[in-house]
Amino acid sequence: MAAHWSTWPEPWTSEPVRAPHALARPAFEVPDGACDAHMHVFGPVDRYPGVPNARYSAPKSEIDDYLAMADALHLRRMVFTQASFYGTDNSYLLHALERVGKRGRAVVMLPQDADAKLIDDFTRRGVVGLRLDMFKLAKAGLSSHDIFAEIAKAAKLARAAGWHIELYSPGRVIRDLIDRFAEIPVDFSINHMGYMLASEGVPESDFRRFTEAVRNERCWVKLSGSYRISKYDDDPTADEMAKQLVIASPHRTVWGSDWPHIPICGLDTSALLNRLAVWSPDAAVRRQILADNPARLYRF
Amino acid sequence: MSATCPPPREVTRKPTLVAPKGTCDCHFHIIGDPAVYPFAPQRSYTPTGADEAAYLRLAGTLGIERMVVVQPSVYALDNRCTIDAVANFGTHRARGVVLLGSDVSDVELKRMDAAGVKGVRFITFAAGGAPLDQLKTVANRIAAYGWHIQMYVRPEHLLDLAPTLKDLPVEFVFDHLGAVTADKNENEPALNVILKLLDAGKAWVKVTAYRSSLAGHPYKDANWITKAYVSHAPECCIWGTDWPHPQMHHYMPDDGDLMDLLLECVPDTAVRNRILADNPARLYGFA
Repeated sequence: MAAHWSTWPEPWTSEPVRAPHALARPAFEVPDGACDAHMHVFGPVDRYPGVPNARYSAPKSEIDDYLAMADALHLRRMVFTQASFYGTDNSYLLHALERVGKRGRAVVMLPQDADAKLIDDFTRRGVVGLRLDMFKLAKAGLSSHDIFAEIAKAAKLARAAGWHIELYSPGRVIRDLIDRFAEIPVDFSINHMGYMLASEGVPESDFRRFTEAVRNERCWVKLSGSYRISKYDDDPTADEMAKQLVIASPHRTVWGSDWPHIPICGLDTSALLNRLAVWSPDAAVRRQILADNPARLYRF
Repeated sequence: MSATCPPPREVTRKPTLVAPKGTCDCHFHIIGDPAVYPFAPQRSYTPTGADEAAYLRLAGTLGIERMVVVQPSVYALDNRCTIDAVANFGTHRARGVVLLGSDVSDVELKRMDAAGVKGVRFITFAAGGAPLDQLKTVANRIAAYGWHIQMYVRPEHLLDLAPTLKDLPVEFVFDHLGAVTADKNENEPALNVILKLLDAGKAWVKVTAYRSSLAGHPYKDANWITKAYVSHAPECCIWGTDWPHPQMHHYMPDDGDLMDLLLECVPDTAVRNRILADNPARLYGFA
């Protein structure tokens, strides 16, 4: 058996994305207005080369590749999330956003010198959120206190723009922030169900505290990245986390494919979406998660 | 007549509170098909549909096993929807509280008693019920059935009624924390009238707090009122959802959140379980 992708040496070489005709059959009726709240697209490398020392190579995953998949799954709406691959260069994301018009919203990363004029321009184009790379902050050795200062800074900017903040974060950083959720003055979303991995020193007891903390009215959780939590098919951890989060916060959970599933881009996005039927057997709850909740957070 | 009420939430958060066996929702309404159950022309609001199936979904999420259907004011004295709902839920787990006036016939009372009715509601916050001057007569009519009178009246009305209540041959159930609001304090006269009735063994209080809040969601400004009643008479406090939350035009509460307010106000599990299960079993006669 080949080594598991999570053990691949960086930079990862991404697999090609799965063709739309090879997607699994839907396990439930995807509601109208269903939104993929977390996905990325990558442009042709000659025109959009990405940052030096990116953690992975981008597969061919342009906006039209994404739309072929999304249309097959009846995902009408989508939230483009700026990938670390592009740093603070949001140009391909903005191109894709323009391409899909009203179907899309975006969450960007901003350079330090972003001014009000740029932010206004982004807002007009459909940007609704600011992404904060807390992997980077944690890797740089920032303390919990310093990380919170960065969040506060981002929140201030987002508040002025009418945006939310998207916390792209390892679970232990979120765990250490739980007690300060109430101090965040804007809506904030958390990726990959909190991304709390026992293998990285975040035990289930911390996840249980997290399920209480998500009751904060500004806290939104993305049901995404299940395959980053349960790295093998028979590991029930991600399913269990998703079920608990749906129970704890049915009004503020959203679903995201994390397409193109870097680096294992051959994953079946349809099979990922089908897990929602397991996490939430109730169709009304699924409609909240897929349509109603993202419509509020992302202002569709 | 005001605008149509927004519907209750279709999805309810599962509360952190673990409902004990026999948990009873002592206050909610069923709103049926208007073609079958027309609304009274003189009504304070127009509700949206809220049927038994939707309620049972909520009950499943919250862990409610028993339920008391309260006649909504919009049907005035036509109690068919409420009584039909009790029958649909079944009297093994459901009871009803109706609106009626002093002219009700004995045949009607007997019929309703057999159908699971346990009380008559007097309400001054909305049009539709009998006027308060019929309260004494109604109390005397229903005493033989062991029914109670359920009150949702303004504090000033309660103060007027106070001298009469303690001598009537029935018990009183006060809705919505006795309509005491969060801006008051422990010296509030209406609160003290109710505390005295609790001392006399004549009263019960529904610790359904959100309508007493002035701050709105998450309604914690009303916690002190719940605590005041529970610390005074934990054996006479009961709880209800007030689903489908008529006239909540600005923010529709999540019943999971509302139920969890009890965790904060009544941290002692044994006391909470009395409020949720044991006390209502006594009041409504559940075996």
